[in-house]
Amino acid sequence: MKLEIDGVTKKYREKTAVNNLSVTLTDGIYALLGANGSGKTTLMRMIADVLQPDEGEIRLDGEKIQTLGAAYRNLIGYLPQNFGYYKDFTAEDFLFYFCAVKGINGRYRKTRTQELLKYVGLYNERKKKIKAFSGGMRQRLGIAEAMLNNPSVLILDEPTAGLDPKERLRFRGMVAELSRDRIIIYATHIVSDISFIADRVLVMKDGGIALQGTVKELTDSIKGRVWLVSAERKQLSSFQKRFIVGEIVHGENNMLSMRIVSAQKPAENAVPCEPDLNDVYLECFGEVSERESECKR
Amino acid sequence: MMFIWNASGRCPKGKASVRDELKKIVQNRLFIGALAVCFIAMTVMTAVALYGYNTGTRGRFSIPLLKGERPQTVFVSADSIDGLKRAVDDFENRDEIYYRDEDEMMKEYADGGSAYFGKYDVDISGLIFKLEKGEITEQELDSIASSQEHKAIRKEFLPEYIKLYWPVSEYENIERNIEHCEWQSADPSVTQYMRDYNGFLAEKNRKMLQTGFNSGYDYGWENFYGLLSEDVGIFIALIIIFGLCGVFTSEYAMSTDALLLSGKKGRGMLAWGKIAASLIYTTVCFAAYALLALLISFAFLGVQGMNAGQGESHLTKLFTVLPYILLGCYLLCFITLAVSSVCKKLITSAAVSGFICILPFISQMLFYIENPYLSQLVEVMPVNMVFGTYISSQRYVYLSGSFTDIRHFFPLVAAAVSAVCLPVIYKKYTRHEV
Repeated sequence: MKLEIDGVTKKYREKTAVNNLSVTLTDGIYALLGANGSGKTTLMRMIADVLQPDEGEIRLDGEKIQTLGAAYRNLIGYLPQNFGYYKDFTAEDFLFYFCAVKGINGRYRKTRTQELLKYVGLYNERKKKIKAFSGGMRQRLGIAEAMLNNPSVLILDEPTAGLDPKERLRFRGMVAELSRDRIIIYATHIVSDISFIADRVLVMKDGGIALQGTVKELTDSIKGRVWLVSAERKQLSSFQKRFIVGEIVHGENNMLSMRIVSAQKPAENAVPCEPDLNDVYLECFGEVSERESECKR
Repeated sequence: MMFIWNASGRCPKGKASVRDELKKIVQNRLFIGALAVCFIAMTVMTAVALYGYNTGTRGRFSIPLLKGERPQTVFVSADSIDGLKRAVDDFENRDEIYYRDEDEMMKEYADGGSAYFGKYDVDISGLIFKLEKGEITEQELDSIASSQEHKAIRKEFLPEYIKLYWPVSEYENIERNIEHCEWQSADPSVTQYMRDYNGFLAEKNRKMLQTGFNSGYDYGWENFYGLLSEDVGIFIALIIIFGLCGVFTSEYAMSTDALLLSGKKGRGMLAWGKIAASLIYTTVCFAAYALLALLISFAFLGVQGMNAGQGESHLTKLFTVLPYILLGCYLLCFITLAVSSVCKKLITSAAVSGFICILPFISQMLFYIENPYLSQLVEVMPVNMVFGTYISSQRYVYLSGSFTDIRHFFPLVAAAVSAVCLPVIYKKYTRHEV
């Protein structure tokens, strides 16, 4: 299966959300990494066929997705960012309803719903109304909904937003298990979510793809430019002004250890270290990702 | 994992769940509240009507006067009127104490007794006062006092009177009506429309006298048609509007649109599913409305008189009115859904559809529209179909100098509204971008 995104552009009045973006996706997990407003959600919506591009086209195995219509939508599972739910529906009713929306009927509907509720750990809560669910439970229900039709193209837009670390870890495991024989597009601005599961990473910036490759290719591309520096706490702002500062670990005696991305050696005591995906993100955006900010605190 | 399948395996086909769509609509608590308000309004209105019938402020005769008598329905026509009039004469002639001597009557009155006309009582004190002041002559007093208008039947003769006089009186009323219409149709000072209208009414009434009509006690039916009017009909219109304004809008507002529109059946089939669910909801609301009106009205006032009614029997009228009310409800449903498919905010959707649906009603209530064409255009709007009075009172549309039953225009209006609304609903929803 091959999903081609060919010269796609989408504008909202003056702002160009996605700008002449081209990429070809085959089976595997694609991490779409980018800051807020980089165009990830717009691109995901266009792939999910709920938003039409102004220019360019998206093709599945050479056929325009608009031409495929319902046949294409039968192949996709889409979990949008901040998706809505019917608060008075139970989890089971919600999935039953989306079974109907996805053309799943009869006895199979019940079997499939039960399988997925068990898988996302909501089977015991299946008779509870969604309004009583926590954010994490709702997100898991969303995953179950997206998986109902066993999609060949699974589009996950910021799926771990609002999840606690345990749920996030669990979710990551779930996605990794789903990757067989399908295209998974996983948009996030949290690097740690995808660094271990993504087959390829697409870094989006200003509506286009700034970087792409496997995790190894991307981290190799900045090898020798990531440093570990120990300094006094009062020197931090000085470093932040001059360099891209990543993870900071506070030590004793007003000392701290920080990760710096820089082509030059940032300090006398700087020690080169092995780059990770977060460093790639930092170099691309010159800012700290949300996940890492949380870690620092 | 047991749920992971081969990605090439496809799910069985199915259809959108109308039941779930209906569930979403009914979860709007406004629906229950509005229906409760409708029930209360109907009960109060019927209780007020019953009070009116009891005190004599409504209906021809108060219920206590009828003494439990429910006059049988009598068929009246030009062929049968002479026989009915003869029966009235016989009734009067059978009265042994019927005073024909007016001098004797005047004498009795002068002696302090009541003026007594056998079965009739008459209050001529005002006339005597006028006579004393010299405003009327004695001959005039005699003539006025003995005239039918100043007579009031004595209570003990009322049931018999109703049976005999009521049909004759109705016939004579129609005759007077014809006379009035003919006079109006020849009056050069009124507009051409009014001349034509009066000419048409005179002709219609003449035909009715010829073909005949059923006359009888029908207070329950009168109240029932009263309940199927603007006063309560506005509630059913609001129940439909508020119940359905969120069908599409709430999907946009709650961000469930992305989930739906990315589903295999989430566009065309779901749009039709939503329309079907909305029509079921509308039908249920209509059924509840009609049933409530019927039950409450008849529980208070009884069911007698279904075959009575000028022009057509109440039962025929019922079968004529209800389908048009249902059609009107469906059209309000389509208009509301069309607005809902366009608006992204619930409050906007409710306000816009409310405004569009109820505008003709408001304009009729608040503004006197002089132009007959404009006024009639407003009358054939869907909301007026919901108000059964437009159909039960047999309104007519004036077109090219002739009058056509308003009911003939409703199917055209229905076709036009459907032809506009259904494509709007379908296109706006299926082409909606998240």
